[in-house]
Amino acid sequence: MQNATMETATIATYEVGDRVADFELPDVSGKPRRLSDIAGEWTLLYFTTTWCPYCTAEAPFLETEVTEPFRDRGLRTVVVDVKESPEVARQLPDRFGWTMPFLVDAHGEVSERFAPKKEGLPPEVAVINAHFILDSELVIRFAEYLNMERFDIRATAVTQALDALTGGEGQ
Amino acid sequence: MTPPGSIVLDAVGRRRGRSVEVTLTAQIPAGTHIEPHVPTEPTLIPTEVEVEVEGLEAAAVDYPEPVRKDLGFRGMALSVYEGTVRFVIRGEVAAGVEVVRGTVSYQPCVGGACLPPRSSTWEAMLKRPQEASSTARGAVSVGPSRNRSRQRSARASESMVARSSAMSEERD
Repeated sequence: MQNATMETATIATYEVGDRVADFELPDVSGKPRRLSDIAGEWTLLYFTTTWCPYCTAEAPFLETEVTEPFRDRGLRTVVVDVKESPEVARQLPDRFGWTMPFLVDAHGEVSERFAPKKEGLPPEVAVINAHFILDSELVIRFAEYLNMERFDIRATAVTQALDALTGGEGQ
Repeated sequence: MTPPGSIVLDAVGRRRGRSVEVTLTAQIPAGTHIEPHVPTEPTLIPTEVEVEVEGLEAAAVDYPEPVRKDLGFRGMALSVYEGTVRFVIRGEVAAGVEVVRGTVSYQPCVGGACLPPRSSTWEAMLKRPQEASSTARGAVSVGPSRNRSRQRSARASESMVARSSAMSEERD
């Protein structure tokens, strides 16, 4: 199994405004994929697992309703599966018919740097269902973490942010 | 120290001839719930009780009724197990079987987060009648369930101490 490789290791936990260090992770076939190679003018970076009920509830809408409406504005979505083997992780794209780049962070090395600090939760749990919108320089322009009490199956806050950043009032 | 969201199991069995009944009592920590055997949504991971001993035949499990709670998940009330719940396993054992064991696999949610699915083992020893009043306690390892492949590799590895109670053997 291929490990993640990081360009730098200077940022403990990313926040809005931080530039994400480029990283490389394998896809489910084991092919190394570098973020900068698959990123778009805008990139939605999304963290998931097969066991997260919120993720599987949102999964049917992630490509069709969150990504597609913004594809012609340069959006690419990159999904990162957290701390699962490729054999387990591939259930998600297989089940939901995703065509988006799907990377496997089997050891959680990349994911933990995107994890919010939540008391009592390990990084690989805290980062699940997190959405990050990156600009063309891989700077985080928006971040949303799972809030069980405000969970929205269609990620409306994310699509609103995408609309504002990619051509709405945010431009 | 048990990881957050881990349940504590107590196994008590009764035997009448070849018939065996094992009651598993699961103590779910305060502030934690686990998904029931039949979750509200198909995307949720069910609790499964499994019996892994050879020689226990025709085993069937009675699962408890869940409670309904509004947890903010998609604006609907969910069925969950919380507090103390009991699972009852019934089956028949072959001659010479002295121990029955198995697993309970479950996904806990603690406070504002769901945690990776995990599995706890249980074990109940068949004791002779004169030994039935004593209770055995021991360390029990925890491993992945064999039931659902999609959960198997995702389960957290942990160690915990579960209570293993002696099974009483009743004469015909």
